[in-house]
Amino acid sequence: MGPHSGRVNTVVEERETAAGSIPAAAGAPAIAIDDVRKSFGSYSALAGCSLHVERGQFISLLGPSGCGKTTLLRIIGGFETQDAGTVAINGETVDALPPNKRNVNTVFQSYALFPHKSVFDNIAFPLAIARVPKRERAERVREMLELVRLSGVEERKATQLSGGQSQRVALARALVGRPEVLLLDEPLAALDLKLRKTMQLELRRIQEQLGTTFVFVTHDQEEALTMSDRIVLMNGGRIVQGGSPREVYDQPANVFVSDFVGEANLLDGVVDGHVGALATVTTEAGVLHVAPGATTPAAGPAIVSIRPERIALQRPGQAAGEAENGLPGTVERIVFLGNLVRAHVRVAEEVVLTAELSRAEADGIAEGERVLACFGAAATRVLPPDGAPA
Amino acid sequence: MSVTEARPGATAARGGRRGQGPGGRRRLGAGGRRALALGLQVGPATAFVAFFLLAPLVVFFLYSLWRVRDYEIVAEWNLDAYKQALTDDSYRRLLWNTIKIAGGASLLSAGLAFAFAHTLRFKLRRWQEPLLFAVVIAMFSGYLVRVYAWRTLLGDSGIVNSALRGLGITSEPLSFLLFNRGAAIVVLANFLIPLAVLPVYAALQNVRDAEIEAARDLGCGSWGTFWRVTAPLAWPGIFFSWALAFLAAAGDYVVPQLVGGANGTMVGVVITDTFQTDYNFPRGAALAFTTLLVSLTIIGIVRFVGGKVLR
Amino acid sequence: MRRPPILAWLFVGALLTFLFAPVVCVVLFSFNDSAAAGPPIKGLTLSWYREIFTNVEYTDALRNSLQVALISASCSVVAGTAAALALVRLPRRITAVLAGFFVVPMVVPALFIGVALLSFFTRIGFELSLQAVIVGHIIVTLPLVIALIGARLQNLDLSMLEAARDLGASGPQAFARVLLPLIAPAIVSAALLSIATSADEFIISLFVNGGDQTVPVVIFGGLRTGVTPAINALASTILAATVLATLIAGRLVSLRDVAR
Repeated sequence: MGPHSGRVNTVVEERETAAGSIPAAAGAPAIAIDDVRKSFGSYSALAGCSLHVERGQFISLLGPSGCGKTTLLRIIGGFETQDAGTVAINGETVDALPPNKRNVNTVFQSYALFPHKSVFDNIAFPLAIARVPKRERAERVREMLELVRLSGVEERKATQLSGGQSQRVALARALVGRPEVLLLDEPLAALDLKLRKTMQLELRRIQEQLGTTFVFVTHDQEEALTMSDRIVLMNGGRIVQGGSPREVYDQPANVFVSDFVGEANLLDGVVDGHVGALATVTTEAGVLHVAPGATTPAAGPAIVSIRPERIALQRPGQAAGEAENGLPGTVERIVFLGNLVRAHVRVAEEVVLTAELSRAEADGIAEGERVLACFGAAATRVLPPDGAPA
Repeated sequence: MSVTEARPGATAARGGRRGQGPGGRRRLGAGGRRALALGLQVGPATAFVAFFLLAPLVVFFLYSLWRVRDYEIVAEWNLDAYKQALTDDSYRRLLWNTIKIAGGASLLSAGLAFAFAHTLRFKLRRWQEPLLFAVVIAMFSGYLVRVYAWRTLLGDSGIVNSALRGLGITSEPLSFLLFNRGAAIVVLANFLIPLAVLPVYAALQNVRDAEIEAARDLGCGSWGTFWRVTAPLAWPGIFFSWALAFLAAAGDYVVPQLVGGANGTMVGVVITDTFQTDYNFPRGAALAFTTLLVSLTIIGIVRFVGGKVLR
Repeated sequence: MRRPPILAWLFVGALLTFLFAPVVCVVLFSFNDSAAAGPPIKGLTLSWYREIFTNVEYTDALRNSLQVALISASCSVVAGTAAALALVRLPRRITAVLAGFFVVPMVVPALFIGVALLSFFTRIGFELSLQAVIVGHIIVTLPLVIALIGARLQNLDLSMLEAARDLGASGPQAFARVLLPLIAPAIVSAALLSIATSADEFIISLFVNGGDQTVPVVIFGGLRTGVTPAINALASTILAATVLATLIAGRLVSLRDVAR
């Protein structure tokens, strides 16, 4: 795919690359999606998405409900047909292939275990379809049950399993046929918090052990950050940003990403000058010094994003730090979170900043107190205002 | 009518707090009162069916073991009526004919009902409700009408024959359209199909889209998905539809009487005759129970085989 | 996927035509201005309807049918609703047994119910009459009522009754103000479908009517001498009533609830 194909990581491409030819299978990405569009009636679910997934990666499609992530997954799986664009798996275009002819398997959100079959028969199902000899079937089912750490339930009916067990059986069933790509449609959504945390690590372990490409759909940003090599953010039927968890967290491409991944203080302002390498943005809370980046508009309206953990609170009289910005304000509320303390500081009539402090940092800061909310220019990210192109 | 005590635990606590006189508490605790209330609600219906259906069936069964003498039923225990039903050639032929017709009609009904429900569920999803409703209306519109109207439709001077003659396709009426086994099967199917649709439709609702997609995902083609997932999951409903249709057909009286003709006669006609003209209740009862037993045996075999094949 | 499923529509259309052909035929010829109940159509007339509403044999039958339908439906609805309310709250094992019990009348062929009732009534000396017909009709409509109302109750969260109690309602108040409004549509549709079933029931009526004939019995008697337009008019009248009842019942309950 032109200049991008050499890159090792996931590449989010612009639409104009759609007409490119599919490279030979050898170096081809596990999944190549080019300008895929899909509408349901008048509702546009996917408005032109392009995405390459390298082999062996764990990639998350992250976005709010209705962003098109599940539609994209179902198009890869073959359950929906796109209106335009192509999907290639390992360099081979699969647009004309039904789901059963694609070397891609899915773990469904509802698990979709066959209720009339035992656990063993559920997992052996794809092997039975492929007419794998019986002895090998038993062997491979056993291997899979070991892989997902679930044994002794082979003869149970699929309806007699707990949520966590069903999840593991669905995973084993989808993996037993050794697919090139495993699609997971919010498979952890139905589990309770503790089990979900365990399964996140389990999924990652299994993925690393097998080296299979995993495409994981989720609306839970923490889940995506925990598990993925790459996160692809989607919103309104478009891919908004792709990158490593660190990249999307530290360098959000726009306000949506900044707000959706982690938490962010967002301040409306106007870029109106430069001081040395720094730009100045005038906001309601005062003039901020910010480090301009690729996303910073040269001038005009902008939004400054600051992560809560990057804000420190100084009490009056404390020695000034080297932070470029210090906004005076009043601590309105302190929320105790156990390991952390969250302080809400009003720095202007309409502006409340949230700061996340360690317990030591928060020591001695009380509600009603005057403080200085300090953060470095490097801790800020200046983004184009809502509605402007990313 | 108390319908409030839905959870045993909550009831016990509340019942205690509400506090009755000491005498009342000794006689009936909260649990006892709840059981009594439930019993009073379900009692009348249960007693009614027990007294007016189970008891009659028992009496009916006893009759089959008794004897008629001078138009009086006397309690002399014997199996003559059953022996006759099973050994007499004309009765055996009758039973066999009944099974052939009921088998044909029930297979046709369940098959078409399944095809209809499957089409609704997978091809005409958006029209499911109105189309299903049309079938329900058919179910409640005239049992007798659906039988005798076929004489107007298919009779010698009926609509079909008039049309064929009018168009010059035939000069003589096609008399094979009515009064034979085939006609009995078609007419039976006509009123059995609506009965058969609902259970199959309900069973197909239990086949979730995700299960179909999972089968496709794991390598099944359309046929494989149908045989390995859809059919086994819907099998209980298909079986129930077919069995219901089979029993209803095997026990029908009107169809063989009105459109069956000579080779379309069935046990129901003879049973009715033994009750209405011969007054030989034991023979009629024995015939009825023999038919029931044979039907249930066939149904049991189908259930066993079907359950083995569709897994 | 995009093209309209023509084959599916053809099949569904053909099947519905097959199902409704006899009904349409009967209604059509009930208006035929000819003594023969078959083609050709010579003209349209209401004289056959005038006949069935003046001829004593037919008016008696209509009155009998109406009486039987109303009484048996009322009894079934009261007993069936009470039973359905108990069935959702009884221990599961008892419910399973009772549910099986109430399926029996649906599964045993009507002919067998009819002859069994005939044997029973003559044995215990219960006079064959309209009362006997009513008993037979309650037997076949009770399961219907229990199924319809049970399906509705199954879709309700019964903890709302506890909520009502918690908010100060007495037991009867909770029933009347919370539960009853929710199951009222199901009760009405159960009543209507019971009336339709009763008005249409033939075989049990045939065996136990003891001379008090209902409409289907009269129709069947008339068929011995051949189909006449008056018979068609009588059948159409009952058809109109049952179809109307079914239509209203269908508006009140979701078919999806019932087909479960």
